[in-house]
Amino acid sequence: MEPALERRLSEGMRHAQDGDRRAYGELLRELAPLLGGFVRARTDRADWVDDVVQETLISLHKSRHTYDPDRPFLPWLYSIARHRLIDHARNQRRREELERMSRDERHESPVAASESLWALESLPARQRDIILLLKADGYSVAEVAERTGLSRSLVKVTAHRGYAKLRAMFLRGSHED
Amino acid sequence: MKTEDVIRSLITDAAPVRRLPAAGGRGARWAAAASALVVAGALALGPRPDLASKAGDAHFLTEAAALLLLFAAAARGAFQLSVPGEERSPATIALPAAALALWLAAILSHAWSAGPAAAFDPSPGYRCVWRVLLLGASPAVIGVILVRRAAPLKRGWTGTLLGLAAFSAAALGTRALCPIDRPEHVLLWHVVPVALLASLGAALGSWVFDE
Repeated sequence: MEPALERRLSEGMRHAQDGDRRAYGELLRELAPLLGGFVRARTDRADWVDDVVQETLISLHKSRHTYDPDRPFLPWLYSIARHRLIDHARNQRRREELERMSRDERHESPVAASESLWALESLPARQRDIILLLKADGYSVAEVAERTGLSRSLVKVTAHRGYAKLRAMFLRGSHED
Repeated sequence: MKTEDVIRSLITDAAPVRRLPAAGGRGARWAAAASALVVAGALALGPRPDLASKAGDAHFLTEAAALLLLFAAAARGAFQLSVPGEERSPATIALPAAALALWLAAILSHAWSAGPAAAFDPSPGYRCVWRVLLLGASPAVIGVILVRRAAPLKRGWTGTLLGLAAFSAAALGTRALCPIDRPEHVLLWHVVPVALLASLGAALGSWVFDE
């Protein structure tokens, strides 16, 4: 572990905790490729890297108050990344299992009335809940932010990621048909 | 969505934050509050009449010491696990596991030295189960509130250790209330409730400590 890198990142995080947005932006942009390398070293699924990096950055953002500037930064960061990778792998396995089950159901019955439902069910809980609040219940982004305790920008980011996953699932399904 | 878009979104959301105090201090403050609540609860429920005489009972004292150790180790572990990076130390989970084993060993050694029960009393100890639940509920709830302010990554383990901490303190309070010292009673109506409540903590932890 490079001491200069560790010092720089720790200092950047300290400024970020104090609300310095410029320092926070520099820190996050320096962390993104570091996290990418961390994830690539632990999985052969190249398609997971961007998702896990983004989920780690979001988790880092939500838990930035827990970082102690008197302690090393990288073990704190990589601990978050490790658990996000584990969560992502678990969710992916569940999603792939659901997709497999759904493909079997569709072969048995041409009526795909529950396609939207299984697709939604296979999303991570937070993405599913936010999409349902926005689209099914008709709440605005501001109302969803208030109900969930998330910021408006995080609600938008989370919904956008959910839509992207749904789009990918339906595209895969239509190609197989 | 590109990573740069996520970064820009996080930057706009970057208000100053109040740094969380160190896990050790937070754990110690919770342990002090939990102890005070258990003592107050035990006094309110009325200690066993022979409590003063138990000061000379080696088995009673050994069990109490093991419970205190379990309480301290589990509390330390729960609050350490609530901070990313702290969960990598094997002692975080190993110490409470060792303390739990010590508690069981203390009860089993009492059973060994007592020999076969002359008259095994199968009467249920539901009152002790309620005592454990009642004395441990408030410390458990306060612990959940404090730990949620952090960022536990091993959510199930955090729930388990918090449950063990809160309900081992309650079990210690229950020993000050329950006049039955027979090992089979303590195993069935004190140890089993603590184990079940800690397992409930594991199940609830995955949900309660979710981001």
